[in-house]
Amino acid sequence: MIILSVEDVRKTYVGGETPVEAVRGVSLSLAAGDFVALMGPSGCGKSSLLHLCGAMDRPTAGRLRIETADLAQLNDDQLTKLRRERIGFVFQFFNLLPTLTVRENITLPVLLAGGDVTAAERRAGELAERVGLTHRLRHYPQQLSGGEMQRAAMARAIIHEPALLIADEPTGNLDSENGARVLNLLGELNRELQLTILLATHGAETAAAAQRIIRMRDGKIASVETTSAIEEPTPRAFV
Amino acid sequence: MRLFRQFIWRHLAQEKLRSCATVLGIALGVAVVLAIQMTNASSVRGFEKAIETVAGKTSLEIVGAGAGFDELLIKDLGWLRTYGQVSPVIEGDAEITLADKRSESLRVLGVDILRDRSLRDYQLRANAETQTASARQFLQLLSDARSVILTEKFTRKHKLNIGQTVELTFADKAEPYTVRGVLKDEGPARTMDGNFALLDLASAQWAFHRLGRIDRLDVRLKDAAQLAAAERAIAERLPAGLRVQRPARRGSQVEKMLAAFHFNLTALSYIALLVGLFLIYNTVSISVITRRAEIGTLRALGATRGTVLALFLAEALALAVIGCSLGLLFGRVLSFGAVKLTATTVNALYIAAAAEPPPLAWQHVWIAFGLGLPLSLLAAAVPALEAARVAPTAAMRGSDHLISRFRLRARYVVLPLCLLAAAWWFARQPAVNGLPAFGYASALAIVFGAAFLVPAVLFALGRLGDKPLFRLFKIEGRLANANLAGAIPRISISVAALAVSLSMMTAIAVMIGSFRETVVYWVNQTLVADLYLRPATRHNVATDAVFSPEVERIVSAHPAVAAADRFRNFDIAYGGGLVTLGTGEFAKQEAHGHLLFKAPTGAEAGKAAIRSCIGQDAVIVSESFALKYATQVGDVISLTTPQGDRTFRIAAVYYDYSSDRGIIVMDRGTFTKYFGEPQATSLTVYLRPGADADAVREDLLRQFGSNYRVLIYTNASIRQEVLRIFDSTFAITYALEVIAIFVAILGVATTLLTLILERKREIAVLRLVGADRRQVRKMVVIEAGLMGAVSQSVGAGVGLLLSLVLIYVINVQSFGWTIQFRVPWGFLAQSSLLILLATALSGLYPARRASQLQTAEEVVEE
Amino acid sequence: MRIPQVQSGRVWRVLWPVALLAVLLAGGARLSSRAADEEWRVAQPPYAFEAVRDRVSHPDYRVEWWSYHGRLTAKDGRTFGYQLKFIRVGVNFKPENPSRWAVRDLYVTQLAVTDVNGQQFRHAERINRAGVSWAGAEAERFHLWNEDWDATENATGEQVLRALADDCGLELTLASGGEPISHGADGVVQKGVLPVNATHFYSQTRLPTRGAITFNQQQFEVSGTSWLDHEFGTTFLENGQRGWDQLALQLDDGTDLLLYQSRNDDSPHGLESFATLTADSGNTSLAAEEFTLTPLTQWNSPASGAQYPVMWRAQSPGQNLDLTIRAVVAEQELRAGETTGLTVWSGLVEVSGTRQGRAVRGWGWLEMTGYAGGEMLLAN
Repeated sequence: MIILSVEDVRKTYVGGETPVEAVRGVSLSLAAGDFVALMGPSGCGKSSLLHLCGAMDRPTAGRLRIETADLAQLNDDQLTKLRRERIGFVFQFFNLLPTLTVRENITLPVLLAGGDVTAAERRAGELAERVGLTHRLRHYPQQLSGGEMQRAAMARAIIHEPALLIADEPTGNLDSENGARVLNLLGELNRELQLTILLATHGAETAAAAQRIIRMRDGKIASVETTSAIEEPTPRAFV
Repeated sequence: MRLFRQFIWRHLAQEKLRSCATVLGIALGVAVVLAIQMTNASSVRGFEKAIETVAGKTSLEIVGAGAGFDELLIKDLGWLRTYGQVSPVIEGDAEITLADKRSESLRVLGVDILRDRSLRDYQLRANAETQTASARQFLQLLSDARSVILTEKFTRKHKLNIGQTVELTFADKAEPYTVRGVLKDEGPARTMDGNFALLDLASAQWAFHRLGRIDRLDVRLKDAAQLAAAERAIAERLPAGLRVQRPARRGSQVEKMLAAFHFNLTALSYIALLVGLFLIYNTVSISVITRRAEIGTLRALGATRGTVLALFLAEALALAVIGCSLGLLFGRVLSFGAVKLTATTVNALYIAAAAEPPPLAWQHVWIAFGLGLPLSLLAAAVPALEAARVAPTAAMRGSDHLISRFRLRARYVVLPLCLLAAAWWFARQPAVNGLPAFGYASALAIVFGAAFLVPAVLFALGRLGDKPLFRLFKIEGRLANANLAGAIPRISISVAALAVSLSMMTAIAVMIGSFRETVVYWVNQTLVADLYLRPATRHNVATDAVFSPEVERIVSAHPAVAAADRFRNFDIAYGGGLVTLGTGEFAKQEAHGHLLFKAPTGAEAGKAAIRSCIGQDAVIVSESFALKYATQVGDVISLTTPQGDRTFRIAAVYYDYSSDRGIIVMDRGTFTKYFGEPQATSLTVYLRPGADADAVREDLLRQFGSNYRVLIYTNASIRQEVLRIFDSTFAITYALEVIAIFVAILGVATTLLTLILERKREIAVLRLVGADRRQVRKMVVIEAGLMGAVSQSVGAGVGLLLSLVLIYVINVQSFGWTIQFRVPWGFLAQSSLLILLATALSGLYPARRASQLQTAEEVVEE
Repeated sequence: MRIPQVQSGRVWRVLWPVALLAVLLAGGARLSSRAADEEWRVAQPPYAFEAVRDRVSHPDYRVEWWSYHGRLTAKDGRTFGYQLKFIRVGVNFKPENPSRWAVRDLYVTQLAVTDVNGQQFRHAERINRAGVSWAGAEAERFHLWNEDWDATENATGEQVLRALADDCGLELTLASGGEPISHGADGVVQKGVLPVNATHFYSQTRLPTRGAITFNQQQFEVSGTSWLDHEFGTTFLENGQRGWDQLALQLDDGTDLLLYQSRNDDSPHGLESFATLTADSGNTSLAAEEFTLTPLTQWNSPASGAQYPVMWRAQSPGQNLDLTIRAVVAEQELRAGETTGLTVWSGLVEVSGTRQGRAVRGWGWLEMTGYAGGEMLLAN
């Protein structure tokens, strides 16, 4: 089952004096359970592509489908609906809401979608346990370490059981140990829940966690390689 | 300077909305203060100016103990000649009926023109050409009893010609007068903007029913430099019952009389300014907080702390300068409204004043800038100092979006409590010079206490608000609550500002509500007579218009009239100010009246007290008199009578809400003994049982015919009239408050907007995790509403406290009235709802801005 | 004026029977005159003066004045002329307004002092309504006042004048002098062609005077002689009348001379002009055609612009009289534009000439009205 289908997508920003072509005809496809890493130097267009794939933005040209939805056909509200039901996000800076507790942060997507509170909180509890944050549920983000924040963000990203997880440099702000734990977790989720993941990163180490690595340069796909080096989950990941 | 242009000016230009809101806030604050200044000035200045223009070259005036003095006393004042020119004067207000049946008020001066020309500048135009008439020719124009000279301005305006007949109403009587000449717009002709009429002394005496009496003697000293010496020397030689004073004295007496009223208005006007200053503080702190990184960069690049401090002070200054300039203009505009709103009160309760604010003068520019700029700088100093403390490393640290969570420290509770304790202490201090200075200190302490309490209240809300809000508004409620809880240090100021305004609003509403109910009760209890009569030109107690004997005769002879209490009052000097001395017929009052007595208590005891005054040197005084001059039943007060100083025992203190200046009432017999036979200024008529008041009123009016102009109120209409005056008195109060609240809500809106711009990333995250625009909007509007709700609850709570201070301290000290405390629940509920709605509405624009934020870039691009 | 004079005075004795008749007729005249001139009484012949009655005020008549003037000398030889003139002008015979301040009469008082040696002239003027006894003229006893200027009678029957202004003043006691001289015919002086324009007019001359004159804050003890003109009735300028010149002269041969000249449009010496010459032989009334008054030297007043003849020649061939009259100081103009609006020339003059072929000298008072334009008579 194809979760994400990108066909000759272009994205041009007309912000400044000269239009910037960030994505220049990219095609790729993610099936359910795929774990793909986007690699490339700054300005290669991977962030723009990621935004497009995360339904944050619409392509200038080309076709972009997430499951059955064609992004070009959707208005802002429909994009929002799509995001909150089918996509999860993990960011470099965690982007937890500082004014909400960990539990509140995790339940946010469900509640925004109008979901049931009790169910959401039960699920948040389970996920917290899963990512090892049970004792942190009542805490505020700023009381957490970077790794903990990112794990909380991951719990938030999957609470509504999305079809696609967009991860933008999820380890960029973490030390190597915490980075490894996060990557482990991603791998686990990918395997256990058949979660489709699109991850953008600078680091080869991080990219290595994926099944496929897509390298980008100047808005185009430069190369695609398949890795077999998928790390095994280690019990150490759960402390 | 360049740095300022680049760093501050461009920023201000970018943040147009916030800059505009701040400027508007300051402008309104300054405008309100200015408008009230001008309004107050207009009433006192109007009066003083009238005194001045009428006074001319008068250096001293000799006045009596009562309403004028016996003219025969002048016989023995020939020695005054050695000091200078002496001219007897009758002054009063009359009405002129114009061709279109409208009438206008005229200030009337009755003088002996033979003498008066050396005191005042009269330029006569007796025919088409200007002429310099001799005093004798001038006199010939006026010697006929029905002659009048009007001003050029007035005759031009109303197209009147010399020789034409006009109808003038003096006191209660309308008579035709012939315009015998026209005064050029010089000297006294400029009085009341040309609404001035010159009469011969004799005609004026006759017309005003003041035969045998003179209002005062104006003296122009030969040697004006010897004013003080002459004043002393004259004072020594004057017989008992006469005293000498400078004309300006009347102005200062009026000023003193109006002082409490003006003081209260001024105090109220400063609230708007205070709130405007909150805005400045707010704006500068926001700009400091949101630009920490930039400040850090500046510092890293070599800007000193002083430079940074100067930059942000300059920001405040820039805003303040624009704000004050606009405020100057707004103030002028507002003053017209304010004068209109206060004119009724001032005219009804105090003096006939000009109904125009003074033109803008340097002094107003000085008030606007002298007040606005330093205070703005002061308000900006705190955040600017904070900016100066920003370390250069702030630039490098990147984001410090994760502000440390607000911690409830002891000082957030202790400080407000200390202030409330101070308020308690202040409230128990006596008045200073008749002004409730400590009362206001107390109110101020309460207000600041409330302001400092706001963080704690917000904290409590953050803690306890989640569940109910979640239940009420779903996840948006939770988010809003969490957002506010996270931004306590930032929103406290705005919420406090709004809370302060609202507390004043509440306090004033409670005070006025209580006052009104008290007055309604008093009116219902004491105004029991069937008809109340006054001469048509008697617009306030200061207008000394008395009834024609014919009117009194018609009234008392009417078969349906059981009793007509002839009441007379006028101003007398007492304790450095003016009080009202009244006289009525105590026997009739005892038989028919229903005064409410404060002491002795009980209707029977009161009646006994009234009875005890008859034939005695005893008086009853109003509550405000008793409070103002710290007197009570049994005390003896000394009054200057035409026969010298005499003492009177206070037999009773009665409740009165008609005048705040203090009233002394004595029986007609006692009055006659010392002041001479009084002429009535009002008639209180009790009808025989079964008589129809309206029918009697019609019948009396018919009997008076068209010549007598008498206003007759029935019982119902006098009650309405009392309440009309009451309500108009407080119209200005509400207007001022509404402005303050508007400014405060402006503060809430700008704060929210800032918070949103600052939380761009968080909102973007929200959007990413699935919040749609509607939800974001809802969240922001709830935040706004929450701020309003907190402000209103703090405001209402503190307002009730304040109202206690207003009613039991400030009111008692400045007006001397007993007010029964009542909480106007209806009003409170209504205003709470309104405030909630208004603040929520003020959140609409920030909400729109929030929902329009672009999602992706904010989150991802760092 | 001493009471015994009433009996001893020749004029009064002669006129006594006429006076009785006049009183009877006056009642009728009064009634008939009311309609003509409000309610003011009109001077009608015959009229006999009576000492007490006629020295005091006559409030029924519209205009009345007492004009004192004289020539006084200080011990150091300094010579002063003075004038103190109390004028009452009726405004409203019976004011409708009961106020004390209602104007029935106006009281104008003029004070003027001439310093002959210093060639200086000072004057002051007061105008008042009666009000609360600010000014008045009593009808029961002799008392004229305008604030603190007054003319009263002391215990010995002498007239006491007191008036002090900023830069001139006087306090004089006037003893009785010669007999009162009544002017005109039958006690009436006709001032115009209209019958109502007539006054009763008498003079008292050669009143021995002593007292003090204040001039420019300096006081001088003085003595000399005064002259009183007391006139009451109705007098105003009719159409065609421009003004008048009046001379009151005391010659060193004992002759008193009053010359009145009405200047009319058609003649500088109108028909109303008259003169009264009093000598030992008695009073002689001269009609207009029996004397002439010729202006000789003109003086221009820089202040008012008026041109006054300050030197005159008076001639009466019938009386063998030829006098030259010269103002001792040219500038004796009373300007009262502010108060009464009148500007007149009124001052001390010297006289020299011949009478009955003998050289005579003397002094006198000259009053000239109607030269400065504007109003000339208070009653107009």
